[in-house]
Amino acid sequence: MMTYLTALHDSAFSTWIREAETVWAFPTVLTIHTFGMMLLVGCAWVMDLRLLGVGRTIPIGPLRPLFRLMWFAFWINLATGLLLFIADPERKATSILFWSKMLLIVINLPLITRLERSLYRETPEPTVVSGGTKRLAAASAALWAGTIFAGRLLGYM
Amino acid sequence: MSELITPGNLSHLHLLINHFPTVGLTVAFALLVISIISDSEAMKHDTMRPTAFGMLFAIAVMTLPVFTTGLAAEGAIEKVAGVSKQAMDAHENSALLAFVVLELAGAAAWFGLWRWRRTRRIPPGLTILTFILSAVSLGLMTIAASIGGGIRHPEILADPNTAGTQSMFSISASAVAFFVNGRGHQWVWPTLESAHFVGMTLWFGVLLLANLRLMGWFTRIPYPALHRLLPWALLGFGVNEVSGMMFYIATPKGYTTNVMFYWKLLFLLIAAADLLYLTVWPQAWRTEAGTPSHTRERVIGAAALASFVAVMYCGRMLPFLGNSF
Repeated sequence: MMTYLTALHDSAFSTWIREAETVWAFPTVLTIHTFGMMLLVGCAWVMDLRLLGVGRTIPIGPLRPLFRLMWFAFWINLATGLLLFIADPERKATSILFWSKMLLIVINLPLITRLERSLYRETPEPTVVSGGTKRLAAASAALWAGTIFAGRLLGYM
Repeated sequence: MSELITPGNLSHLHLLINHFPTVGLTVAFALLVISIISDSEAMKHDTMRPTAFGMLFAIAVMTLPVFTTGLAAEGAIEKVAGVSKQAMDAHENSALLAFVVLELAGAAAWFGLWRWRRTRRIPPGLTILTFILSAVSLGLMTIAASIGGGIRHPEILADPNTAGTQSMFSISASAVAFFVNGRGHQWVWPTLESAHFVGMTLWFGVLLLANLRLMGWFTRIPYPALHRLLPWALLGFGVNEVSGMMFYIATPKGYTTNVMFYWKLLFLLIAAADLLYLTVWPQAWRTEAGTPSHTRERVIGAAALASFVAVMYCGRMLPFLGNSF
């Protein structure tokens, strides 16, 4: 396994992202990844806040496009995240923080799908939020916070 | 812009904008006092008091560049004969406490405005809290300004030999720096960075939805309902101000000589102005479900969202485009 990671690390593309003397390589990929995070988790938290009871007068039906924004941002970050992994495969693949971050995301994605489905299953204009939906929102919000911490700490370990 | 980032220019900037937390704060405080003792209902609830609260919030935000240009000014004059490092440290430490209390006053004023937008009344408790915090910060600013003035003008001091004496009303910046950077504290910086990203995301989420509504998306949502989310944007702002200031105090030289840091501050002022706009803008408050948007709100929203992304970009690029770290 390590042989493949080392080969990936030594590949021209990996070296270019990591070492190119231009802001368009590593710095730009990292910045787009940060933008995607801001958009994805920002939309998720606003949705979760509403479901947890902040701003009860905000109608839930019209908020549904936030889920599409979240998925749009998710694909941006999957792509940029892949590039960041390619730039530094050996360290990432052996880091407990990296795998914790992946685990948190893998748990969170189905939660978000379930959240959207349970919310809009019966009516496109839900007015009450069930206890189960609230628990999903709280869990998802907390998992995003954990993901941000794991991702940020990854830069220092 | 890089060529403008000289110690001399930054020093000049510090001397110009330090009037916000001194002269500006005095004016805002005077308006607040008049609105409290006045018999006029209009002054209490419609005109003077909300104006004083808005000024206090704006001055609290403007004091961020005042504080951060201060250490750049120190770099400009630290080798000048007759300038004492102790006097500059005494100024910095007293300014730090004054800054902290002023930020709390700004936050209290913001909550007053937020309540005022909904009920046309500022609750008495918030008025009293804002009065106390702004009075204390005005006193502390006076001390900090007096020590600061004495750095280059020892003749204003009653006894020039007292230049460099630490005021008892101060926070030790070097203790803060040690907490963030010191041996055995390696966990502090990364933890603050993580919190900084959490705060940014929270602020951006609320800002995005509120501005998009005023720009004509999510038209079925009445804006006053979204207004309830705004304290969470202020919370994000607060988390990032605390964590950001700790980075700055721990490694000032990584910022004061970095052009991206000044761009970041500039865009941050616009993002903070947007928070004030979302809180009190009359047309926003009248945006009900189905109310179409106007060009003006579309321009403001686009500028604000672009500025927020620019704050993130400049911060993210500190290590790459400038010379930080």
